[in-house]
Amino acid sequence: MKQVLVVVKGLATTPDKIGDDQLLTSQEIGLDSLSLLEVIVRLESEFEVLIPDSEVFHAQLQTVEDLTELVAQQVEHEGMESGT
Amino acid sequence: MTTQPTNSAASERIVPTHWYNVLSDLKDVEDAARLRRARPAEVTRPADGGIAPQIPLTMYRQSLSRQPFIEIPDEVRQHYLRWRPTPLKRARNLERLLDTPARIYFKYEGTSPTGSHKLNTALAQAYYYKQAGVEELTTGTGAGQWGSALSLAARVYGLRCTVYMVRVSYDQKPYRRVMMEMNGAKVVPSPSTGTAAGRAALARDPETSGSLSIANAEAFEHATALDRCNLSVGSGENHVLLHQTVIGQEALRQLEALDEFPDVVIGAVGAGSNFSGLAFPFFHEKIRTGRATRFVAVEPEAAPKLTRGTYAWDYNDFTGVTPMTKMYTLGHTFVSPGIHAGGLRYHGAAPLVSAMYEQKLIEAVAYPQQRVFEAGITFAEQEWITPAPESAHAVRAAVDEALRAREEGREKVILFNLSGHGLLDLSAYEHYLSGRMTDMAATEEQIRASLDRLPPQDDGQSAAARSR
Repeated sequence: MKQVLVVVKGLATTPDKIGDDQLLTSQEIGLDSLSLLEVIVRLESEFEVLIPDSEVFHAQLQTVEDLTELVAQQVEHEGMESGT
Repeated sequence: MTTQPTNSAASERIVPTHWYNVLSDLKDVEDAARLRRARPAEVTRPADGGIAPQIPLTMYRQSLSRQPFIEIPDEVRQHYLRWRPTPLKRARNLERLLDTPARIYFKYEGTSPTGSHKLNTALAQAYYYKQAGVEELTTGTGAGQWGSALSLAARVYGLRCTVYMVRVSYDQKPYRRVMMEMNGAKVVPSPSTGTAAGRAALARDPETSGSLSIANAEAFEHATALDRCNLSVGSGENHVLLHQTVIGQEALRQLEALDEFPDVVIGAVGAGSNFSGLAFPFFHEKIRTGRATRFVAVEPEAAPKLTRGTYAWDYNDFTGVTPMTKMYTLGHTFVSPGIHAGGLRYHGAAPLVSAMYEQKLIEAVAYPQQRVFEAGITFAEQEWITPAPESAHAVRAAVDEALRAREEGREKVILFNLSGHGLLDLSAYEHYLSGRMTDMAATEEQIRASLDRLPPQDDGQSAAARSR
């Protein structure tokens, strides 16, 4: 997940240096409403899930952990639906 | 909500089940397929540090997709069936008047409940925003056609709607405002004193007639200030152009039934949604079959973004808070003279239209408004349909193509988009008939001044410097 952040945002840091509690809008990560879309679409492709608009749209994601949880929940949900 | 389509089954089959995605047929259009974020210093962040997308993921995925066809949600298609397919007509009386060997066809979008093509994307967007949990939509509108469409779509989906309407249109077209209010929308003349963007525009020019980029900036500010309120735009974005392709796909099937295919496809361009809606599916056929069809985008001389603008990264709104896109632009601070075709006064062309123009896949022509209204009145006399001032630009170009066919003595099939009726624009026709209308072309000085305010480009140079 953090790797995707580094790649999409072209961050001058490595994934291990990004903390779970770091704000997505912090100077170091610098997500805005548009790059958030880019990151989520990349994460969807990476984890082969489709996150419903209703889940993400008003989630008011604040930290890296919030984003991780959003994707993890969808991976789990789709896993349950496909019976795996 | 249930709808009860009243069309025949044969007629319903003409209405597509999928939108056509022109990105699947284009090469070297990476810039058109991405938005560029605003510079960090210009981004307004929510105080709590929380962050949410500005548009539904579904629409964002549509904007980037390279899939040739994208399924229309059945609920949206059912709404389309209330008035679609729209008629494809042959302008035989106009042909006779012009004494031309050309066959002139037009796709008439004025039969939509709000009188223009704008409802095709308004319903789709309201559907996706509703799915996302949004409770209010806000927007800027030029001539009021987009505001009318969005207000109806918002009502259909139980959403509140606030429309910032460009001042000159608010004054010229009062019944557009009434139509929006009938749909429950709040309509605010722009620039207003209720937003920082509006106040800044008024401080710069207290007498300003407004512009769509100012109205969009006000709507963006409105959306940012409220929870569960989002900005919805009716032209320019890739997903908007995608939703409009129902127009061209229907026209393609309707012409096929007549064993016809156009030599030239024409549409007026504000940012490009009605032009693209008609032209893109024919572009797909051109690619697929190798035909020699031309595509002509028609713009007013008062806002000549394609014919006199520059291809550069620019903002979609006056204050530069929306993401930048690569477009043919006159600069986001450009305020077009107050012509009657308010829907065409926008400073930039859609990224996809701009990329295709840059690659010479489409052509562009600009007209002064008196020649446009002359053609609009001729069309109304001959075909008994009053074109919207925006659509009359396409009529003008179609007439000129037909006259050229006469001079060259050759048959030609002309297809244009009559994107809306002008029955709420009669004050414009009255202005023309009274002899008080003047042509108001953008001046070199105006264009240069606004291009000087373009943001820095990829190479660090100013776009204005590069274009000179």
